Amino acid sequence: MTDKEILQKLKKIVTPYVQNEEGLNDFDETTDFLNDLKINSANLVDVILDVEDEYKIEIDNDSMNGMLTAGDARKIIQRKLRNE
Amino acid sequence: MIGNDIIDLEVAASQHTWKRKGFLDKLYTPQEQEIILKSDSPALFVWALWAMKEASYKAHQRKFNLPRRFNPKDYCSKLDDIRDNYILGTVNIGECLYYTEVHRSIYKLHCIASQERSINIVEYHTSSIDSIKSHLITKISEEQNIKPELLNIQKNENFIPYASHNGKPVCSKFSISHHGKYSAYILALTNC
Repeated sequence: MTDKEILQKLKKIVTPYVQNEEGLNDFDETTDFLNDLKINSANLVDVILDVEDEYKIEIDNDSMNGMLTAGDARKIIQRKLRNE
Repeated sequence: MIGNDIIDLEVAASQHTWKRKGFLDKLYTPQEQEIILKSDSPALFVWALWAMKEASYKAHQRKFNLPRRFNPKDYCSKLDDIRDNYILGTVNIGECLYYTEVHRSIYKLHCIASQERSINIVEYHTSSIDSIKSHLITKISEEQNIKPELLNIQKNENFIPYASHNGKPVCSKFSISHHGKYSAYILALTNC
């Protein structure tokens, strides 16, 4: 799966929780879930659970702690898919 | 240091299914999960404990100017007194302890976390996001004796909001929270 494919899927996953729709226009690696998209912190866990379901992976606590941007999420997904 | 968190209970109920597999495990310690699951109204405690953790996170992040982290399970909450209109408790993170006070109504929860057991603060609630910053600026200007038009609310490198006067930080402790229809801020009435 390429970086671009993962980012496209991530964009779809976060969309229901986004409070600042404009932030989706230039969705890329640097997009910050809380600051750019205004996703409520309690909704971050929904994003994480949706990512787990989508990719059939388990995101441990340490990885979750650092999942603040789309780029962070993309790297975590790829690492988990490689079973590292 | 202080922190606050507001929860629109209607929005929380419509957006979240706390019964979803993994939800409690990702956010709450085993002790907190026990409080939630043994209570008569689990949904209330899901959000009350969340507000306690979030308000304490803000106070803690500000105290040490920490980079952001999504580590809710490192914040361990305990309940001391549960009443109809408030819930008192504490939250531990590492060596630090924060006292929390959750004010509850059927529509919203508002939690205030502080390092001191009792604090002197101004608390303001509104349903308009736009008016909250200007209201806060007016209050800070009264406190600090600075003209409101010279005051600004900015965020630092760790996304922590602070007040500035002509570009220089003003010594005032406050915390702002928005959720759904509600916004609230708290402002400490003490010297830094």
